[in-house]
Amino acid sequence: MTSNLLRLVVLFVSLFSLNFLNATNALGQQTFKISGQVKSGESQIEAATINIVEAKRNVMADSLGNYEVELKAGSYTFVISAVGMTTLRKTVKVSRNQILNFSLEDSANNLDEIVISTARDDRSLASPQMGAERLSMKTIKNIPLIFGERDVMKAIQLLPGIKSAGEGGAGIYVRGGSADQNLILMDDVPVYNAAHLLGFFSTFNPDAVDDITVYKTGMPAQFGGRLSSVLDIKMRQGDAEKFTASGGIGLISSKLTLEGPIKKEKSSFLISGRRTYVDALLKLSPDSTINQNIMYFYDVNGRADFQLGDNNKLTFSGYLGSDKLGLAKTFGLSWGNGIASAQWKHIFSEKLNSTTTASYTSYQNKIEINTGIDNVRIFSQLKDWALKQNFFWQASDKNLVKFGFNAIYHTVTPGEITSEGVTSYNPVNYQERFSLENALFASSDWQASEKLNIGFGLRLTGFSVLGGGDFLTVDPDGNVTNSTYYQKGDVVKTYLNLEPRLSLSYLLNQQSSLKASYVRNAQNMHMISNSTSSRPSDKWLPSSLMVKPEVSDQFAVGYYRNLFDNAFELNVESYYKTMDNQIDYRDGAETFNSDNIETQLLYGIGRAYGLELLFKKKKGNFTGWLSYTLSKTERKIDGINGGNWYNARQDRTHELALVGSYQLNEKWSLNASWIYYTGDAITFPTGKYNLDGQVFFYYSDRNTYRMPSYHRLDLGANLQLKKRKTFSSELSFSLYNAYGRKNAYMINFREAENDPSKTEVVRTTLFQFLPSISYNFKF
Amino acid sequence: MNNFKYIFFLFTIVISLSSCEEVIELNLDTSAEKYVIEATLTDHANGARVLISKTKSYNSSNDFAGVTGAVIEIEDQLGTVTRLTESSKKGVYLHSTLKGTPTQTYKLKVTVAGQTFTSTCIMPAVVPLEDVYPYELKLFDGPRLFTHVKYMDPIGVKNFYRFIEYKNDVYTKSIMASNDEFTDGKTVNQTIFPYEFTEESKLKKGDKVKLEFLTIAESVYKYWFSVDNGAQGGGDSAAPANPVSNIKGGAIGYFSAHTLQSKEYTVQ
Repeated sequence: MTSNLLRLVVLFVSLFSLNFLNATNALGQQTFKISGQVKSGESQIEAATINIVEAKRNVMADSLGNYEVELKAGSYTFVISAVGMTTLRKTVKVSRNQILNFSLEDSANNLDEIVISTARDDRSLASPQMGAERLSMKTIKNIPLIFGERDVMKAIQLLPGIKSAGEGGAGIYVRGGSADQNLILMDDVPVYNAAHLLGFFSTFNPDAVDDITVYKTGMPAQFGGRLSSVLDIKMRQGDAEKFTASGGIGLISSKLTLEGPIKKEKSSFLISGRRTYVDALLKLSPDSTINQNIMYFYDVNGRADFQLGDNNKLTFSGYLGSDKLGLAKTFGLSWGNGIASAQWKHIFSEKLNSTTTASYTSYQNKIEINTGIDNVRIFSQLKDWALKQNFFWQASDKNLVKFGFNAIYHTVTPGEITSEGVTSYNPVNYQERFSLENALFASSDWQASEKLNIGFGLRLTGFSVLGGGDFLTVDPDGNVTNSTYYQKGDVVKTYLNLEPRLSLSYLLNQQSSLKASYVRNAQNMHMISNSTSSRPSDKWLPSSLMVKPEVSDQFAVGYYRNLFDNAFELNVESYYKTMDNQIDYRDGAETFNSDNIETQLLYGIGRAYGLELLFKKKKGNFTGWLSYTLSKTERKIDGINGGNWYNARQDRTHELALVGSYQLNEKWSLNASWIYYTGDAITFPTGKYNLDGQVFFYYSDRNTYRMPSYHRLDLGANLQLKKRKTFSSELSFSLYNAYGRKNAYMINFREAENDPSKTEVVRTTLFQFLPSISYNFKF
Repeated sequence: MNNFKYIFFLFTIVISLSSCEEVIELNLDTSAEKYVIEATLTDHANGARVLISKTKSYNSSNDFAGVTGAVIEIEDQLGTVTRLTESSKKGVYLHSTLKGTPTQTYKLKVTVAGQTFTSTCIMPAVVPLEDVYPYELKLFDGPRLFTHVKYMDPIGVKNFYRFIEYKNDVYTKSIMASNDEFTDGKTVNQTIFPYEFTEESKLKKGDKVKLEFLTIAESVYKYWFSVDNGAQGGGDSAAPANPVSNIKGGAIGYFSAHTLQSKEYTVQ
C-alpha cells in the first residue's frame, strides 16, 4: 500500500515538473499578450477552454473566467467553450497586447429572451473532463414541469447514468451509487437533505438557481467526500444594473424574487422565497380537526455580491428551508436545512487567483408529540463548519493548475428526547459525534500536444474521528466486544485516503475525440435509510471505529462526436466502478438508538458497470436529446443472500429518456419528455404463513424480483404573454403522465377485501394525469 | 419506539392523497415449505400452547392446516420435562396445568418428521398493570378513542412488553410491543394504535374492550419488533425480511415465556 502511494506521488510530481519545462519553453518567443475574461451573464465561467485554431492551442480560463495567452501577430480563430455552454467563435487580429472579453450569454430567468433556437450546448471535445453535464435553467425551461416547478434535480434525471430514486422523487442514483453518495453543493456548500415533502420537490428554488453541473466521473480534485457524483449547483447573482422583481404562481406553490444593485455595477443583492400551500386546501375544510392539519414547506435564498476594486470580490449567501407536517395538534414533524457562506475571490496576479469560502451548514429534524398524557420532543441535527481554499494558477498557457485545501468540522447530534409536564418519557441524549475532515488537493489541466490533453489530480483526505463519547468494537454477529470512552478532543482514529484523479482526451479530428479517466473517491459521512423514499428518519453517521470510509474506484472511457456542423452531438461513455465498505441494516434492525447503532449494521462491497449514450439535436426549431443507459448494479454483503452478489435496489437494466422541445412561433413553445426504465429490483414474498391469528409473508433472497417497468410521458407548453419593456409574463402548462400509465409506486400483499381466504397483490399508483399550470412574471 | 407509528401514518396520508390502488397478478416462485412454530408459556394454567403449521405459496388460500404428530417438550430450569398433548384441533398442542414462574428459564424442544427445533426463553418478572382506559386523541381523521395502558416501569432493569387488544372478543390484530428504552422507571401511558386507521376500527359507544398486558423476553420483543418493521407485506420498506426468530433449527415463529394480566372496559 505505502509503496503504491509513493509511486503515485512520484508520478504526480514528475508530471508537474514536465509542465514547468513546457511553460519555460513557451517563453522567450516574440509574442503579444491577449488576456481577458469569459463570462456567462453576470457570472464567470470556470475552466472554459479557448481553442486557438490556427495556433493549435488550447487555453484554460481560471475560476474567475480569466485567461491569458501569448500569440505571434496574425489572424486567429478563437473557439471558446465550456462544459454544456454555448460555443462561441470569434476571429481575432493580434497586432498588440490587448484585452478581449468573451460572453457566453445564458440567462434563464430573463423572460425577455426565450430564444431557444440559439441554445447550443456544445461539449468541449478537447477538454479531458468527461462524465460531466451542465444544465442551465434555460435548458430546463424546455422540459415539461413537474408539479408546476422547474426542478433541477428532476431535470438531471433525464440524463444518462442518473436515475430517479422513485416516482416524483428528487433523490438520485448515479452510476450505481446510492442516494447519499452524491455531493450536492449549493454555491460550494454541501446540502445534506436536498428533498422537500417526501422528495417530490428539491430544496432548490428554480428562481434562485443559475445552473447545475453534474460530474458522474472524473471529478476535479477540488471535489471530494462522496462516492458517486458531484452536483455543483450555482445560485444566481443579483442584477447589478437595475432593480427587478420576478415571481411565479402555481397550483401548489408560489415564489417571489427581488434583485437589484446595492451600488450600481459594483454590488448586487438577490432574495428569493418560495412556499407551498397544500395545507391551504385543508384549511378550506369546515371540520376543525382536518383544518388543523399542517403540510407545507418554504425556502428562502439570499445572496449579496460586492465587487471591491478590480481584484477582490465578496459574496455572502444564505439559505433557509423547512418542511412542516402535523396531525392536528397531536403530532408535528419538521425538518430543514440552514446554510450560510461567505466567499472571497482575490486576484493576486494575472496568473494566480484564489477563492476562499467559509461556510456553515445544518440539517435538523424535530418531532413533537402532544397527546395530553405525553408531551415529547425529539431532536436531531447535523452541523458542519467548513473552510475551503482554492488557488488557480495559470502555470503556462497550456497548463492550468488548481490546488488548495478544505477542512470541515462535523457535529452530529443523533437524538435528544425532552419532555414537559407529566410524561412517560425520560430525557435522552444520545452521544454527539465530532469529526474533522481535512483534504489537500492539487490538479493540473495540461495540453500535452495539439491532440492530447491530460488532466491529473491528487486529493489526500484525512478524516479524524474525535472523542467525547464511547466508541464500540462489534463482532460480525453484532455483539459489542469492547467499548472505550474517549475525552472530548481526543483523536479516536484517523482515516487517510489518497484519491488519484486522471483523465485524458485525444482529439481524433475537429469533430471527434476519445477520452479515458480514472477516479477514486472516499466518503466519511454515511446515510443509512431503511425506506425507499427520502424521509426525515434517514440517519447520517460519520465514520467510526467500525464504520470505515467508503471508497470507490471508477474507470471510464468515452467517444464524443459533433455531427453536421455541430447541429448534432453524440456521446458514448462506458464505466466500471467498484465500491468498498458499503453499509446496510441487519434484518430487524432497531435504528433509533444511536449509541449502539453499529451493532445493527452490516458491511459489504458493491460494483456497477454500464454503457451510456447521449444523442443531442442542438439547432433548429426542434431541439432535444435521447439518452440511453444499459447498466448493472450489485452489492455483496455478508449476511445478505448468503454473501453472494445480488442486485441493488436501483439496478435498472435499461433506462431511456427522450426529450424534445419545439418553438412553434414567437409566443408558443411546446415540449415533451418520455422516459422508460426497467423496474427496480425488489423483494417479494415466496410464501405465507399463519401466526398470531393473521397471515404473514415469508421472504427468501433479497431483491430477486422486479417492479413492473416504468414509463411515462410528460407534456408541456410555454406561452409568452404580453411583452413590454418593463413587464413580461408567461404561462406554463404541463401534464404529468399524459397517457395515465399506472406505474407502481408500491406493491403490497394483503387479505383480499372481498374474500379474506385469499391473498391479493395491490399496486399503488401515484399521479396519473397530473396537470399543472403556473404563471411567471418579471418587471 | 412506538411513537414513530405517527410518522408512518403521516406518510400514508400524504400518499393516499393522490394515489389509486388496483389488484394485480404476479407470478412468483414458492420457496420450500418451512415449519411455523408459535409457542407460548404463561404464568397461568392453560397458558402452555404450541401451534405448528407450514408455509405455503402466497396465492393459495388462507386456510393453514396444522401439523400433527409432533413431539413437544418444555423443560424448566430444574430439568423437569413436560410433554404437551395434541388437542382435537390439528396442529394445536396444549397442557392444562403447566404454568411458568417469572424469572425462570424454559426450554422448548419440538420434534416433527425427523426435524428438531429448540429454543430457550426466560419468563420476565411481573410488572403490575395499573389501568386500561380510553382516551381521545386528535389525528388526521378527527377525534378518535384509543385504548391506553397504564403501568409503572421498574427502574434500572430492561423491560419488554406486548399489548393485545380485543374488541368485542375479537383480536384487533394490531401488533404492539414496546421496551423501556425511553421510559425506564416511569409511569407509562401507552397508546394502543389500531391495525388500520379506518372508520371500522374506531372504538364506539358500547364496545367492550379487553386488553392483555404481557411482560416478554428481549428475544420475543425483537421478534415482534421485526414483524412490525417488514414482515407485513411490503410497503416502501427498502428490504422486507423475515422476523428475527428465537427458535433454532430453521423454523419460523417464536417461543415466548411471558406473564399475562388483563383488564376490560366498556366504551361509555
